[in-house]
Amino acid sequence: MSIIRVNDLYLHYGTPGGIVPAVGGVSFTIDGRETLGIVGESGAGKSSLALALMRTLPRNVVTFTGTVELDGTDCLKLSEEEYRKKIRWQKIAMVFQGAMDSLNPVIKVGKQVAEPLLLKPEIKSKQAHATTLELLKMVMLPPEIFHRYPHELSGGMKQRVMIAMALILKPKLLILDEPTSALDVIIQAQIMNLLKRFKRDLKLSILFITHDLALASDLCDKIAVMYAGEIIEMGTAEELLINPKHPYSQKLLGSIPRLAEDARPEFIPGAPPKMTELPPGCYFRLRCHHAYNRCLDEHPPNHKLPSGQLVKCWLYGDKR
Amino acid sequence: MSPLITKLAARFLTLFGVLLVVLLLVVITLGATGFSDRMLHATLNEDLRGLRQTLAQTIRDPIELEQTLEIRRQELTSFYSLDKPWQSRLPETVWRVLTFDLGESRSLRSFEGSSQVIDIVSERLLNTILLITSASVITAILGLIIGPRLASRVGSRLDRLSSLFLAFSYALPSWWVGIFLIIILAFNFDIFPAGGMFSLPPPEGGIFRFLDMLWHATLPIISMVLVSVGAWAYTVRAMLINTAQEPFVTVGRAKGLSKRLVERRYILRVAAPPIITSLTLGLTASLGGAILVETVFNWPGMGRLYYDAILAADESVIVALTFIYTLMYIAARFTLEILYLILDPRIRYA
Amino acid sequence: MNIREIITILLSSRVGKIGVVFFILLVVVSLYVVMAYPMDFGPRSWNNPTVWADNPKNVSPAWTNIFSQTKQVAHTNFKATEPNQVTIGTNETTFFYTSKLSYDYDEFPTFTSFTIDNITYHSQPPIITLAIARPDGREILLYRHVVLGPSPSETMPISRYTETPHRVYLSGDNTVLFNITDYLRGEFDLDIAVPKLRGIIDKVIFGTPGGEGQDFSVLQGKYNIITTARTYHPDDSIGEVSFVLGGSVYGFMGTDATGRDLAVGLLFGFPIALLIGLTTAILTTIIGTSMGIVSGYTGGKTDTIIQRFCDILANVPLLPILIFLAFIIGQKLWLVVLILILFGWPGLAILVRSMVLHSSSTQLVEATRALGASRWRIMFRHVFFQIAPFILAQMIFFTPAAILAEAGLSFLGLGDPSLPTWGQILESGFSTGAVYAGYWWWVLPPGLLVVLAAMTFVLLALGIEPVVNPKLRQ
Repeated sequence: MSIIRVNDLYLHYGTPGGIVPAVGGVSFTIDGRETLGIVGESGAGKSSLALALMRTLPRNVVTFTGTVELDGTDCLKLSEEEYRKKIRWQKIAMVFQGAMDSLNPVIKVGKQVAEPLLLKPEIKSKQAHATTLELLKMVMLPPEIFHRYPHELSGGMKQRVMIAMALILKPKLLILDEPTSALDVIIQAQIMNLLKRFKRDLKLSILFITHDLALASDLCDKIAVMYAGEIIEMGTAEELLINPKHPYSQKLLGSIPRLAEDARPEFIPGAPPKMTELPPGCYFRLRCHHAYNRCLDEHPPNHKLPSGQLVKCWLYGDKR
Repeated sequence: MSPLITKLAARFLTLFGVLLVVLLLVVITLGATGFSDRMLHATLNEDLRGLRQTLAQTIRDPIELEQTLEIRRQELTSFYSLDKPWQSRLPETVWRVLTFDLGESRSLRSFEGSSQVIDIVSERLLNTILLITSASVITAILGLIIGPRLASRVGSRLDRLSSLFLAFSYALPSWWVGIFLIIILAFNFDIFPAGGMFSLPPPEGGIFRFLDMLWHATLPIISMVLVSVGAWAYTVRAMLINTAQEPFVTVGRAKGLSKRLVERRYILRVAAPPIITSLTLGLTASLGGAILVETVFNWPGMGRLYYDAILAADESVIVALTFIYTLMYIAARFTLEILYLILDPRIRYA
Repeated sequence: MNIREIITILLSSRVGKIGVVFFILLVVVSLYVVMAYPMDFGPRSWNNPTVWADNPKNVSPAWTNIFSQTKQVAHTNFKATEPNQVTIGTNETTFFYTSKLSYDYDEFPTFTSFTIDNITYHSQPPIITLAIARPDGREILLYRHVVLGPSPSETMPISRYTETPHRVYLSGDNTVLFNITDYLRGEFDLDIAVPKLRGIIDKVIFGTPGGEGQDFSVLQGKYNIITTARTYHPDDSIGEVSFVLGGSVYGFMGTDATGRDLAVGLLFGFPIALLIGLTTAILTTIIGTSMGIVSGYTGGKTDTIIQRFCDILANVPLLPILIFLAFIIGQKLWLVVLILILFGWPGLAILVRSMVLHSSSTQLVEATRALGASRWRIMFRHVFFQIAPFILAQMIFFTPAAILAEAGLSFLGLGDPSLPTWGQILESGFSTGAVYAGYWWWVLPPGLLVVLAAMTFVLLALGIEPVVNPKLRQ
């Protein structure tokens, strides 16, 4: 039973340099208690995807189409007000990248966490206070934090506050956008442990965005690889990590240094394409060793492999 | 000691330093240009002249008269410390001004007729404060209404038109606007009075008097507001735009807060401290503008007094006014500093 | 970011374009004034009433005639150096100077005057007369003047009215008064008391009396102004005679109470405004930036001291101090500029210092330092270039403040009296009650020019904004 089903999501920005297709036809599903990891380089469109799901988009959006089915409701069809009142933060919540600046500096931490609760007229402040304290305890923060201001907290503490804040309304889907990139490895490990506990104890579906394959492999059940705004491969974590199909995924995994071997990590030649000037055909072809003439002309669709993996590559289509 | 108190104390000291610097500047200039010597000589001669008249009635012998007067002159000279260089008079003068012992005016009189500078100045103080405060409050409110509207429509036609208007408003001298308004609204259309604070004779009854004063105050206040609202709204807009780009604002929206709530609590509230800082920067301008506006509209405040004192070349009033103005300015700044500290917890607990 | 890029950004927005256009206008006009007028124009011409003696006083600009229902009198100066006719008698030679005046106006002139310039005689002093022939056939002998005779110490030939012309305002001269009285009695059988007559001489000359000699209506038509000069020696010479018909309008911008052509005065204000604005701005910026950079980069005790100093200075209220100092020390332009700079640079220094601190803690600077670059090199090559656009914007913003400060100071009567600045013109208007008399052409244009000059720089600063704030770039 899938909690969330995303189909053909397109998100295009208008910039002075041209149209940026940040998200180009993304589809996936996440089941209850399932964790999907989105992996990719910076600029691949991961954060845009997250913002699209939250519908907190910047002004210069020119195209925003597709369906996002959550519990039977198509979120994108709702008006902004309806979405805000029914879905946002209540069904889908997000932990943003960069906890440094993600908290309002003039409001006390506890109040910020409780804020979404206090919006509901039926909740009294005492109750909200209690719930907040519970959550703070869950993210392993001392209760005094409630009365502190954000600038008095360390990076790791702030990140945990963000997590608590995201969980306050008990959402069905929790999106985490690079939750550990700004933190040192020790804190990173703490946060990951926290997330793993939540995954186990709470009935949460998680969308975990990261550029770090190792982290993704640690937490996620399914992993999708994004490149130039598209999901070019998606499958279970094991399948992807042990047997990546798409040349890009292969190169990604090949670039992880191995401690037990002497082999040098590979690198991917070239650079990601400029989003305003995407080449026709496959977006990866300029950097792909296996590219052939079909890759130049035709844009590959999703090919479903017998194992259930999805790959956007002509190598797996009917060869012509 | 709480860091808050330390910070406040530091600001207070700095501002007091400003007062001292201004005072020293004034007194040193008076001394170094020989002005204070001249002033004191004039006073001394006044004294002697009066004395001569009194003595001439009792002492008949002219030689004895002159001798007595000469002795008196010596006494007065050392009393006023005129026999010593002006530098030695510095500490005493500074002290006198600081304790509001401001002396007498030569030619100007207060409404009641007193020639004490402190009387003259203090009865006008209220009038000026009335004008400046009303204008500032109206400007602030307008700016806080217009600023957010502009900020949420960056790049739109309204926004661009407003930048043109802002450029125009910033370049407007308040006194010229006043003259312009007088010519058009007071002369051509006769809607508002051309000057003064009350009609002559002022109407009876508290409420009518008050309304009459408001009617007279309208044009000066409009002049002052027109001139500062542009820059103020623009500053507010700039601060708001800056703050609106911060990540926590997106987070606020994502949390399901309504747009208005985000604007109030996440943008406006956070941008408040730097907005206050900008207010302080515009403070000097509004003080200066007030002086000029009062002159144009013949509003009996300290600004007009300044103008009259310049025309009458009355040094004691000018010195006193320079001091009081600086004092007012410092008081206003200090208040704003306190406000800033209240609004920004980062400074409090840093 | 080099100059070309800055100019491109400046010209890309509407405000920038307008700002640049205005700025070029300011510069062009200023250059023209500097080249066309002498430097001491102020004390020599502007403040010299004799230069403007022939102008009407307090009249509106000539173009207001278009909007007027009655035709305004055009200010005309009938000058003659060569006579139309010379009659040679036995002992005397009479020069006749005739000027034709076509009076098709609906108003009376604001004044009339007669000027004699540069007479040389060798025996008897010449006699000059002025008469006017009206369209209704009547002729009035207005004025008769015997040139001043020789004093005991003088020898022939004698020159008179060489440095200062002999100027007579017809309404103020007793000879004229008597002649007019005779004329009225003779032609119209009217007797008007002398005090009242003084005020309406021009009406008598150019008008016809109504009923009881109360109202005069304008007599339109062709008049002849006849000046005669009788000389008693063949070598005698008459330099120039002129009759001035005082217009009810004058010039491009009208005149003030002394008759000064406001257009000229306003023109002169252009280069002064530019000078004040730019000098103050540039010097303040140079000092403020240097101090800011030094303070921010050196750090430590120097930094703290400079900052405290700046803090205090920046908080001093400017206008009261300006007023006080102008009053005590004297009204000089350089003093105003000096004070503006003195109290202006600390504010900039504080801002620059915080920017320097911000950019010198970047990794770029760390890396450069690790590469062995000297502190000064870092300061100038990297830090300075980062903050340069901001400094440019600030500099542009200082200019209008300086212009406005000087205008305000002049308005209070504390300006430099030897220079006709816009603020001065406004002040003379305000203090003589021009505002209440409705002489809008005197008080509105100077202020408008101040606004335009200041606005130019604000527009430029707004146009430069995208350079400073990259997020606003197109």
